[in-house]
Amino acid sequence: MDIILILLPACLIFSGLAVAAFFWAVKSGQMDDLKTPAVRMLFDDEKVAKKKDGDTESDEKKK
Amino acid sequence: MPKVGESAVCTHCGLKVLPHLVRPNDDKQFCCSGCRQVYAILNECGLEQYYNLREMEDAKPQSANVSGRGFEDFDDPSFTSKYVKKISETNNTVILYLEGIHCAACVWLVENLPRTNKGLLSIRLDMARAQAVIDWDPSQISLSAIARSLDRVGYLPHPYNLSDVGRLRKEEGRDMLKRLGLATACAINIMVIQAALYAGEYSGIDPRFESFFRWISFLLAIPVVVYSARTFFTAAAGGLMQKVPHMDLPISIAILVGFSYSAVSTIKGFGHIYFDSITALVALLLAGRYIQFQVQRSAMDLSERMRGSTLPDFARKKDQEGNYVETPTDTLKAGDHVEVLVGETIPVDGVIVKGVSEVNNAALTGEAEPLKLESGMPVHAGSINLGSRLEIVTQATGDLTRVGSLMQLVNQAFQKRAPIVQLVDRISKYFVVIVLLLAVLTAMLWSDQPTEIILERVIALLVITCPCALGLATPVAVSVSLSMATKMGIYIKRADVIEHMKSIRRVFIDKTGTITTGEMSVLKFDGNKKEAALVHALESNSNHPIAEALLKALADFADRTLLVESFEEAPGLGIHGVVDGHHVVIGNMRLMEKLEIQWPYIENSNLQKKSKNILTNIYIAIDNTPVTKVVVGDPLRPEALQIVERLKRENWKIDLVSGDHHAAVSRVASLLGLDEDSTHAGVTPEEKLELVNDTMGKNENSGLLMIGDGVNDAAALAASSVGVAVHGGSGASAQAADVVFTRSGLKPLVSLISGTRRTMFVIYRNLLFSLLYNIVGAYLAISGIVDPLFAAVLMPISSLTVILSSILGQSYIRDNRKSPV
Repeated sequence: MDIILILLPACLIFSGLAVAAFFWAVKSGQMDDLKTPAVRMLFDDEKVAKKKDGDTESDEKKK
Repeated sequence: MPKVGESAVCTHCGLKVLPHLVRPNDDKQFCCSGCRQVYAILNECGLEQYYNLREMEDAKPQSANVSGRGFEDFDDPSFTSKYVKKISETNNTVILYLEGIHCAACVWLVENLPRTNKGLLSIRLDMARAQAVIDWDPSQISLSAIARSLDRVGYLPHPYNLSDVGRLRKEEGRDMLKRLGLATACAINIMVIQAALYAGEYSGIDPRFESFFRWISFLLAIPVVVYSARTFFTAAAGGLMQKVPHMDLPISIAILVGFSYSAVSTIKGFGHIYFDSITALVALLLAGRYIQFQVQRSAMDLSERMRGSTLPDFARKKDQEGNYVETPTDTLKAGDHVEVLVGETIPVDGVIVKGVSEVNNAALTGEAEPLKLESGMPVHAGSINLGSRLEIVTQATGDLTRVGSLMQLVNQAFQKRAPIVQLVDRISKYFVVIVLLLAVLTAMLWSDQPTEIILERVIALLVITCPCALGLATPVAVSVSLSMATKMGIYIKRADVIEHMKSIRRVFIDKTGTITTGEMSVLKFDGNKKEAALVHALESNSNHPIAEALLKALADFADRTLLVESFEEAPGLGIHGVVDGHHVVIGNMRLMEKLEIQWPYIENSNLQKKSKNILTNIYIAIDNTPVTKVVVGDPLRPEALQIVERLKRENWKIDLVSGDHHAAVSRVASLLGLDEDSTHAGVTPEEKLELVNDTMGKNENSGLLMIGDGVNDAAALAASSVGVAVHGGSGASAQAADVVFTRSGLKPLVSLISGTRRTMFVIYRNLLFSLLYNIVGAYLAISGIVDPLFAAVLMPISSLTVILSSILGQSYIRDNRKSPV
């Protein structure tokens, strides 16, 4: 069980790193807007390009 | 009123298209020219993906609003120095507030604009706050061009000048989050370690490990007390210094006593430790406060954003060559000539030099009836130009205008406001005294025991009676209530509004724009179908508010086949022209006299007598024959009567306070069934403020609710115990008020009253629960039955009860379902 004397402080160091990362994220403004990034990830860049081609075709057909 | 005959839906925004705008044989329909324009641009630029995203999001339809402004003021050096940050020679950055952001597709569209604008480096949009951070290369594109392209797709950009208060709020939010994060991380780690210690107490534990775990808990608790809990200590110290009771005082005592005793126990190697209880307490309290802060912040951001809408940011200034250039309002000087187009807000105080028009002064004075103005007459910033183009010579700008002086009144009223002591703070005063007395009692009860045991009992008492649930009782209930209110379009800026609302039974209601719609509307039209169609055709050429009201009312009779052959507008009189071979005249009596059309039966009409001076009569003649008369006025909101009656039933005393003429105000008062005593007409903004102060002075205990919409109400809103700004009002009123509605009408008022009442019930229930837990805990601690495990279990259970009670309270949702009015 003596291993716990090393494991526990080691875990706490990791926790400390996590807290430091959290502080950095807050400081750099990543927590200021929690709504838009959730939406932004839905946008699909590739699909946009394809869609554009498809639409010009259908526009031509209409003409 | 308009019915949707052919079910056409706007291709751009998804709103229904009014029948007279439906174009037959066209598969794309638009509800307004703005939407048509935006649709064309999106297709041109290959941004049609917008429509797929919008469908996916199931967004609320909102029609596009394109101003067509030039935005030259965005390139003005004074604008640049005020709002733009220069990162490098080829990279500038600015934050703009975009009007019209409403769904995820908007985010996509705005953030994809750089694809079609060379030199526009990037746009990042914060959807909730509608703020866009724009990076661009000034050598390739001007900011005005970027602003124009944002405007063209339906997002009107405004400069966003975050005030110092706003910046501080942002910083405070980040600080709170850091404190909360640290406290939570440490508290959870301590709890896990503590679990090992509790287990050890029953099954035995190697003393080596026991002391190791205790030391680790101690080390983890230090940053929580030193960093995270500091906010409680400063608040408690501040409260003590000003001799104002504050909830943070008992909390601070509990944290400090618990921590020092546990620290001593750790160092000595025996005795209870309470690190888990106090760190969890700090984390929970910070979480409750952070949520409340966030909800309130969104309300404050909203009103700050609206601040700009009181006066326009730009004016069309006449330069030396006689061209009109959009210039920032704050660079204007006395003597500058500015142009104001129809529908625009006048940016400065000044005198008309060219043009005849009507202006709407409702925001400034409360008068519903537009004022006829001509060359040589003074105008005030904040009035809306309704009639035709005006040229104005500037006399005063910014703070020196009438609006500016009214805003100073608002600030004075804010400063005079007494600080409010919340119920829980008042309880905390007794709480501290009682707990300290109990501590003495405990010491006396166990005085025959050794000092160590006495000390242990006293400290157990202080920690167990720690007001965790008490501290959570209000913030959790309040934040649940505020966020539900926000979803219903009620933005509450200050939490104490909830406590205040409970005792208020007196309300001052503004007339124009608050109890009435504030818009011209047709109250009566007697003509037949054919006449209606002719009138509609002629009026569609005018953009006068009366024309708009007629168009709206007669939309069902619209006939697109009618040809308007000629059209003439007589400012201040009306319009006439030839439609489909008929000579149609629409206007007031003076126009009829001018065109020598005889009206036989005007003065005898009943409606005319009743409505003297309040309603505008519009006469219609076709082919020189009198046809009918239309009554146009500012109608009561449809729900107004019901709401007034409901308030009366609940024993509210209602006063109608308006700057409008006596006749107009007493007509509304009689419609609402209010007597003369509670009707105040012709009240200036200063008198409104005085009236509020006088009434509040007379009955200090009960407080006063004021509800209004104009700049003229702002000072009174700030001075009243609770000020409410209705939707669509001026920015000044939103800034001064404690509560801002984002849903139109007065219905949110009823939700506010019943919602706050229910929230207070939840707060009382929470306080009762937490006090009960404390009484039980105190009894056990005094009688010496308590052990640390018990303390560790009791605390989260009491907090959990309070949180559950708050969430299950659901103050506004339940209200919504019943739909009270």
